[in-house]
Amino acid sequence: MSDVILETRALSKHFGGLKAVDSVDMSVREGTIHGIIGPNGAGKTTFFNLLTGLIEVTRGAVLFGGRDITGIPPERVAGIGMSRTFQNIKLFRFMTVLDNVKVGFHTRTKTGLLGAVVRNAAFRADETFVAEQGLELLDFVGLRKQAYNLAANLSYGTQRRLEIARALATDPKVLLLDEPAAGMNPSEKSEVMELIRKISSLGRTIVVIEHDMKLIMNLCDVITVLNQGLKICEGTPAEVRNDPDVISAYLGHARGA
Amino acid sequence: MKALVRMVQRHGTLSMLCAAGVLLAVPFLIRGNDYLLRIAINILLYSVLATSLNMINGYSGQFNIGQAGFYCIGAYTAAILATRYGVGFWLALPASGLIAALSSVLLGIPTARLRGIFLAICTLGFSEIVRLTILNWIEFTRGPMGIPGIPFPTFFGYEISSNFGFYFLILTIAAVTLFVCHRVLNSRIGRAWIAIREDELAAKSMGIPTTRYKIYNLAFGTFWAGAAGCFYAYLSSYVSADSFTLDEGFAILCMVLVGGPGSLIGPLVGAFFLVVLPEMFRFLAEYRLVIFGLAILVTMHVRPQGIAGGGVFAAIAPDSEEPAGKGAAS
Repeated sequence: MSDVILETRALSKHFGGLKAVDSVDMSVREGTIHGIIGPNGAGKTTFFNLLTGLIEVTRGAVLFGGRDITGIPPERVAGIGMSRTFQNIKLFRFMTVLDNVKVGFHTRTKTGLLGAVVRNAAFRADETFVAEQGLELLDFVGLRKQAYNLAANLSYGTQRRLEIARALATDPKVLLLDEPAAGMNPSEKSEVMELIRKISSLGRTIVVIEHDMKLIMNLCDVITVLNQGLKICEGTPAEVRNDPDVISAYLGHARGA
Repeated sequence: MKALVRMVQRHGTLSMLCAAGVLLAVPFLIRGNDYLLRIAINILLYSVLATSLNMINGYSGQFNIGQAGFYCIGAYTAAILATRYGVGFWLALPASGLIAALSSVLLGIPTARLRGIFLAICTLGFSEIVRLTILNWIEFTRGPMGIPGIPFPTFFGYEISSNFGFYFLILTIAAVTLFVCHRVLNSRIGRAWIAIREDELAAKSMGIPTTRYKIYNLAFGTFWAGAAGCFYAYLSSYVSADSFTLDEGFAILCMVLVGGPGSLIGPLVGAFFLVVLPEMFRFLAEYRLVIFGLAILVTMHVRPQGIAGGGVFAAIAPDSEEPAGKGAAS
C-alpha cells in the first residue's frame, strides 16, 4: 500500500451553532483518486476550504506528507504541493488563456523587478520555461488552439479545463478538484473523466468533489461520504454504493426503518 | 479608426518608431511658441502621472484616488533636496520617486486589506493629510509660502532652462517610465498584479502573496508619480501645496478613466485629451472640472473601457510574439 499524503484529524469548522464540518478524519493515499460526495450542504466545499487555508479551522488538524499544515495561509499552499480548482470557476477572465496558466508558475519562478527590467539571463530562462511549459499544459488539457484568447471568452466546459491546467502549473502533488464536471453535458463529462485519469496516471494524487455519481463511481479508488458535516462512510465505490447510511442520506429513510 | 488600430497592431515596431519620430520633431516645429511648448510638456508630464496611477488602478485593481499626494511628496522632496542640500536633478529624480514609494508603503501596510471604495477613501484622506501637513509644517516646508528658487537642472554641463530643453527632459522621463512599466507588466510580477485585479482569491491560491504584491504595486506606481513631482518642481522652480489639491488627483484619475485603464496607451491618450480640452475651452477655465466630469460621463456611455482600453491596442501592451486580433478578444 502506498503512503498517506494528505490526512485530516478530527477536522472541524463551526459557523456559530452550525457544524459545517464536524470531526472529519480522512486519509488520502498517494497516487489515488479520492472522491468526496454528499448531498447539498454536506460541507464538501467547506472541507476543501479548510484544506487550503481559505477559512480558519475551528478544531482538528490537516497533515500534508506527515507535516502539520493546519492554519497555513492560502498563498503558501501552492508552494508545498497542493493546488485546487473552484466550484464557481475563478479564472483571471481578462487575461489570455496562456497567461492564466503562466500565473500558476508563480511559485516556480523567481524573477525580481530588476531582472524583469533588464531582461537578464535568469529572466529569459524563467520566461522561456513558463511559456514552453504553459503551452505544453494547454496541449495536455486540449486548449493549445485558444492560448491567445481571453479566458472570459471560453465556453463553460473549456473554462473548467483551463482551471485544471492552471492548477497543474503549480506542479502539485495533490490536486483538489471542486465539481470539475458541474454543468457539463455527457460528452464533456467523459472528456473531463479522461483528463482526470490522465493526470492521475502521471502520478499525481487527486481529491475530487462531484455530484455526478456515474463519474465518481467510475473514477475513484476511495470515496468519502459527508452528510451534514459528518463523515458517514468511506470505502471503495462498491462499498459506498451498498452502505445503508449513504442510501438513506441520499434517498431518505425507508418507512418504518 | 478600425483600420488605424489594425495597422498599429500589425506593425507594432514601425508604429512605435513613427510615434517617436513625431514626438522628437514636435518641439522643432513649435520652437518659437512657448505656449504650445508648455502644452506639449504638460501632456507628457500628465502622461507620466496617469501612467503611474494606471499601474495601480488599471493593473492591480486597487482604487487609488489620492495620487496627487504622492506627486506632492515627490515635488517637495526634490525642492527641499535642491534648495537646502544642493542635490542635483539627476539624484533628486530617483530620490523623489523613492520617497514617494516609501510613503506609499507606509500607507499600504495598514490599508492592504481594504478594497474598493474603502481604499479609495483612505488614499483620498492620505492625499489631503500630505497637503495639510506641508501647509502647516512651516519650519520644514515653509508652509503656505512654498519653496522658491529651485535651480535649473543641468545635463552634462548644459543648463536646461528653456521650455525646449524641458520638453526633451520630460520626454525622456516619460519614455523611461513606459519602458520600465512595459517590461515589468510582461513579467511574473505584472502577471501577479493583473491576477490580483481579476480574482484575488484565485491569485492567492496560485501561491501569490497578494498583500505583499499589492503594497509592491502601490510602491511601484507611486514611484513614477514622485519622479513626476521632481520634474514639476524643477520646471516651475517653485513648489506650493496649492498645486496638489484633490482636484489634481481627480484630474489624473480622469485621464486614466477616459483614456482606458489597464492599457499602456490609454493614459497617454487620456492625458492628451484632458490637457488639450481645457486649453481649447479656455474661456470656460473655471469649469475645468466640469469638462473632466463630462469627459468621464461621455466615455462611460460611449466606451466604458476607455478610449484606448479593452484590448484595442493589445498588440502594443503585451509582447506581441503572437498576432493579437485573431480571437474574439479584439
